[in-house]
Amino acid sequence: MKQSGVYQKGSLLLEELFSEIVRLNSDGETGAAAFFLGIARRTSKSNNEVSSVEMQSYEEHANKEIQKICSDVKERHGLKFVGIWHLIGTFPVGKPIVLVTASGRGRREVFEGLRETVERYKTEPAFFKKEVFVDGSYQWYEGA
Amino acid sequence: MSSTINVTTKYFAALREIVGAESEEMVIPKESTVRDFLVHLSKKYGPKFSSYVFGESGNLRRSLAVVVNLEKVNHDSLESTRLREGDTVVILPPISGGKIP
Repeated sequence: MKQSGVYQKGSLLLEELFSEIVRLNSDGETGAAAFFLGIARRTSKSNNEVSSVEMQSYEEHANKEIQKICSDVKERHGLKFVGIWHLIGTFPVGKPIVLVTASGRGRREVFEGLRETVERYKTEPAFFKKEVFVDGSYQWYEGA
Repeated sequence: MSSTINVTTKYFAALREIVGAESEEMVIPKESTVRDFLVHLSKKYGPKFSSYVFGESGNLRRSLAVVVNLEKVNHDSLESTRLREGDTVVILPPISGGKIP
């Protein structure tokens, strides 16, 4: 299984990762695994209609921060595994961009760990998002 | 001994569009600080670059971050952090989740 990190669109199929993660958690000690799939959405936060999303990344920084998040969340929540796989490139609406997973003994720590991992990957690694609207205009994401 | 050093920078998001390149190798005076480097870039790329990077006060916008060799440089330390031969200096636009690192 490919390690957590940044991948060019097309070099990794997020859908195939799911099966590998299930296999990883088949040891009998793991009681829960949770997943988050980030998807290119049709409506932006400013209520404009999106046609595609472009993701860029300062990959060296993002890979380092992703490893740090996974390691930190795994340790602090006592989890078996935490993973983040983030694609970069241009994505039409409806296409998945990022997969996050957390697994461990029980659902409490798994849900808490997953949530923290998702919130942190959105703010700590260097990813930059451009929303291209149906009228041809676009906007680099400039804040929450 | 040389009076210049070679540094690398990379551009992302709107900065990449302003500059028209993904990365650049540059020769700058030895002893340049991070702020000196930002000013150097602003002079090279003009008002559009300058207004994106600097606020009205002339300081780096709070929404941006600068990392040198993957380590963030605090806004308060831009004028005191000296660059060295081979450094990679990157201005980070706002990260997609909305907050700066």
